[in-house]
Amino acid sequence: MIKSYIRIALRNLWRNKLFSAINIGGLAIGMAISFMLILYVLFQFSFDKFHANTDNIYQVVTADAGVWTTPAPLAAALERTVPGIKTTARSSYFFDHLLLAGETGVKLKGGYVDPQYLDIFSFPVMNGNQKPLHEKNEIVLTVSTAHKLFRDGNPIGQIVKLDAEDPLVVSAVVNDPPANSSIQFDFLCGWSLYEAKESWVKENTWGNFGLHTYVLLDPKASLTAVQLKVKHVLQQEGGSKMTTTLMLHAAKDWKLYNNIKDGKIIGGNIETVRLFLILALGILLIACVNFMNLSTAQAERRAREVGVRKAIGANRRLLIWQFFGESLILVVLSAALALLLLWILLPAFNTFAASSLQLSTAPMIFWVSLPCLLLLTGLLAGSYPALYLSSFRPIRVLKGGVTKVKGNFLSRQVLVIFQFGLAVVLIITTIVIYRQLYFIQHRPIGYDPKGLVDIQLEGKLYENYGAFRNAVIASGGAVDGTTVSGEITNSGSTTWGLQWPGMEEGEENKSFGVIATAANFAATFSIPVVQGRDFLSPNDSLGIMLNEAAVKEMHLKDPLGQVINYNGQQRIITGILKNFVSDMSYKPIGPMIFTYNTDWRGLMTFKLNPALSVQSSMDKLEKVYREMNPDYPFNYTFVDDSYQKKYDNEKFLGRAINIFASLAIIISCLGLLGLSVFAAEQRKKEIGIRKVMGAGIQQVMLLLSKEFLKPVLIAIVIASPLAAYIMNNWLQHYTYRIDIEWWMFGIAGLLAVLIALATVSIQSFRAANLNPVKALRSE
Amino acid sequence: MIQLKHISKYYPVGFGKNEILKDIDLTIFEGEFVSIMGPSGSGKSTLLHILGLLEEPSQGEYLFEGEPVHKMNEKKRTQLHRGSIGFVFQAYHLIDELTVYENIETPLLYKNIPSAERKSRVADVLDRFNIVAKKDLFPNQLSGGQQQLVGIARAIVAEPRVILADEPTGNLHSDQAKEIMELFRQLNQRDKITIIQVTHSELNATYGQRIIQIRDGKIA
Repeated sequence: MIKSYIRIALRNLWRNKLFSAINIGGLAIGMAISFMLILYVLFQFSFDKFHANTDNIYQVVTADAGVWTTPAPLAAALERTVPGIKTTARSSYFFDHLLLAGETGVKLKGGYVDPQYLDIFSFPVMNGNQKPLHEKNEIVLTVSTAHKLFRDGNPIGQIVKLDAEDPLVVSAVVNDPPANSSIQFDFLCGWSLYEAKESWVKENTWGNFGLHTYVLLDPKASLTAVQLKVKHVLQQEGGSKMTTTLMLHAAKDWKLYNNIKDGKIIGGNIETVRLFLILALGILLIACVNFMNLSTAQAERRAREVGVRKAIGANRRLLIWQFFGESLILVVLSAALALLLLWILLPAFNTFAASSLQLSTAPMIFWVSLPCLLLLTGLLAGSYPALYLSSFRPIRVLKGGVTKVKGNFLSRQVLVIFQFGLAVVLIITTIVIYRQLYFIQHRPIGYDPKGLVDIQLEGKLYENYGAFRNAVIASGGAVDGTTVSGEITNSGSTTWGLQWPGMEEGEENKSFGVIATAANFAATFSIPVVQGRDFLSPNDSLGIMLNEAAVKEMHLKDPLGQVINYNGQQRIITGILKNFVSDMSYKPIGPMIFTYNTDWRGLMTFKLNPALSVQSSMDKLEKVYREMNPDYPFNYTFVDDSYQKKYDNEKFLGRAINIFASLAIIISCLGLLGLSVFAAEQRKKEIGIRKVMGAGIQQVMLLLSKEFLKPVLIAIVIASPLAAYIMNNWLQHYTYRIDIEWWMFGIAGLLAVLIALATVSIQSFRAANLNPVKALRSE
Repeated sequence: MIQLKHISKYYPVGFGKNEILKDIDLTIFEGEFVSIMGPSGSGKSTLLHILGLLEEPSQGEYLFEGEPVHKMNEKKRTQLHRGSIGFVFQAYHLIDELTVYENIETPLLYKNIPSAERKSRVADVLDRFNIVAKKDLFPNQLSGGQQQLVGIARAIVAEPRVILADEPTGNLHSDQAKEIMELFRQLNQRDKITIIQVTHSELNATYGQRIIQIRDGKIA
């Protein structure tokens, strides 16, 4: 029996090659996309779950906004005062450092951690000291770092120079953090080394929020009780001025639930993941709808078979099974094709989503869920055709009565409306996201990021910055330069506790963005100075500049020359800068201060010579760099690139929606093509007669296209308000945003109509050009 | 064998109804060869469909070997349908996607007959009808007469007690028609299969032992 079903199903597929190709192709594309997104989503969900202690690992963050920085003495205080905390570990921010092993020098990411760090997290020691990082002169490498530095030699006991100066002994090699780890590093050094290198770490002060604190809870401890204790620990231990409240952020939430506000998790990457899941289902649904559409369109062909089978003894149940079986065969074929497509497309997707998904390393659950998904798709796509086809009354169909069933045609129209509705929503979404993206990327930001280059201030340059700057400008590669504490595109540090003339009660908690810089800051970045002047020389080392927002925040009437107390220093306001964007351009610009500070600097920014090409300017800079800092590779970033990078999330979303919209349209068009082929075939006789009566090609084409235009138009009417609603919600994330305008719907609608018409007309044209005699002879 | 008592069939039309069969009483005995004749629209096909369980009467009783069919549940009805009744159509109604062999095999599949027995029964029928050479062909590769031969082979392979034939020769020319009618006579006489045929042709009707004339839904 089953063999007979499979045989008839395959013969049917072969007989209707075009339909089968459209059906299988559409479903395969839909499935490939869903598989891909499911892989992606599973990967996202697997983040940070590989630690043996995952359920009990937490990071201490500020409760108001989930900021990850905490002061140095916090870890010890937590262990002392909060019962239920088993152990704690601190870590510095992980940055790129130069590691030198003999002649081999590589820039790698790493930092300093407490020894307990490796007890809390599962980065198992593969080789060497099982309890490393207690000594000052130790370094722990990952397997891949060890390979980079020592090839296949034994790394244990070898000497590695950190930043080309501190000679450290490799004491252990740990496994590389897996791709689904939020924490990524290439090497680790001990905390005692950090204290030796950085005075503020050694001082162990409460005021400096510059490092991460992780805790491991006792599995039996009550999280609520611990959270309650942790909340006010800063104030209790650090002094009454420390009003910041803290909370614990669970390791399993680091990746997906990373948006914290006022002590609560309010979302995070999970929103993108959810969006992707919805899109995956949507595309699969469109493909299933295609399938239903094309299967029922073929119903008339199959009706006679149903009648005969019923007449010779099949009952409805058997027929339902038969048609389900056929759907399943199609689904399985599509799935095979989908897996092939997935395998081909995965590298492209990985580049696109900056992920490293692989079919070979797909988690078990993927392979388990695959057959379930297939069955579900088979059921979904096959149910309607199976129920519909098996319901034919044998007598009616054997007499040829089924061909004009109105309900069938109507439900097919509804399915087309659904498909194109979804496509229109996606087109409008794409337009809005792209417009918004363009808007935020091209808003005036108050300075010109073009022609600016950031160079790490490291090695000998730290001492010789002044000489280096002079040499660079003398070489003609740059026209100006300054030092900054961090990238200007990254709002970075905030400070509070400032005092200014006329300050009111309670205002000491107002926070300000802070950039520490040196002479020629405004000049290098071309930021207009509204009042006073830019920093000019070390004579300004007790100067401070404000942006306009800060003047407003401090409600200063005549700011120039006023004295501001910052970190216990009396600083004189020397200049007021025009507001410029340092965070995201769609957010309001916050108050900022700029201090002259040569102790706190991480980068040099140069304004390249606009008269030269970027390449020749960089060549000149590199030449000077090689002479003055030969130990370090010449690494630089263009400020423009960093600025664009900030919008990676939005760009990714925009591209993703774009791809999904295209796919949805392609699959919908495949379905429409199939339906139009079918309609033309069904109306062959009618077209023949009309042509004999004198109808022209245009009239016949209009006749055939009209039928499909109606559902598309209805789809546009239904989809537009829906898209407007969804996009309006999305735009609320942005303070500065575009308005949704009528032309967007116009374009989306026009596009949908044009695409539908183009698809249908391929077939209508063929049908309209057919010799009528041929069509009529077939009767 | 078959007894119809006061069988009526009507469809609602607007406020009234369109009566197709009116109060039919009919008895058909085992081993009979009956021809039903009548003008187009007289209701003869509907009568055949009711006999073949493809349609249900609006009123009346239908006894098959003394058992009331109108009171049977779906399952028993299907069993009766599969086991005792074979159908032959005017337009042959073979399944285009199946070969001759597979077409003949299909009713056996629905009767859940084991594979080995299926094979031998299909082989017997092919042999008997002299169409062994055609067994792997598809219906559209056969002439009309050959297709009808396959249609009859399919009808008898499940060894039914009754064959219901709806104008079995309507699409054939006279030579082929004669061949088919001879076959029916043979099945009736040699295999003792009860045959009920609907026909327009006086000549074909004479193959039967009894002719039932239907006019305006009534037996004339």
